[in-house]
Amino acid sequence: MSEETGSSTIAAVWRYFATCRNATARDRRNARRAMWWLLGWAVSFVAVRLGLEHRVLPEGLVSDLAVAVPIALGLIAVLAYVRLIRQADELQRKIQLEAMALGFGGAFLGNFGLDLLHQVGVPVDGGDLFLVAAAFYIIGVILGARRYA
Amino acid sequence: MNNRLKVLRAERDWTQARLAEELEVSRQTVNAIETGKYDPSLPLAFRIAATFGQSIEEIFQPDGVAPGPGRSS
Repeated sequence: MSEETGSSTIAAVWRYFATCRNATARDRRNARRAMWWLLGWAVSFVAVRLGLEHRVLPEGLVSDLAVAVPIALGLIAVLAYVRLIRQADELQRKIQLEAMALGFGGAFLGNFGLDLLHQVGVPVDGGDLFLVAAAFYIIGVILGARRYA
Repeated sequence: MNNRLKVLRAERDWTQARLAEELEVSRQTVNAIETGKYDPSLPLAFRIAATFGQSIEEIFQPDGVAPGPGRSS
């Protein structure tokens, strides 16, 4: 669930920056860079997870090193996203900030909401929290883009 | 905040895309400034002023003050 959510979130950001005709060349370039790192993270995450699940990876140093790969790629993807935001066109930065505030708020509220839903028997898990946060974030980006259109 | 960006751009027969390119921002940013939906940062305001060869006060005015030439002599 979380890797799908992460991928969809960055894909939405990439689509917004990289394919938007209004975006500056630098924003498109930085968005593409962030997307490729995230793609690397997603692929390595799935590969390592499957490898551990099906015991393809031998236990010990090899599996430890394998686990480090998606973590490292994920960190690079985060840094690429930070760079994207830092160098982004100032209006895009404002839109992203407002969207992230909405995403953070959504995660905060979602945490309690999911807990209540779980208590009344709705089958939800912690991974759904990322989905809620991503949904709020994407809605924030769309609302921001429309507000300043 | 009021501004004369649209007028100044029209005087030069520039499109929003052209001005955005000059200022190294997105066209959406230029449009948002022109329509008063977004107030630019001080560095961007300086770039806009430099692009049109005018002072910031000649381009931007607070709400309630008609935009126009600066009051300084």
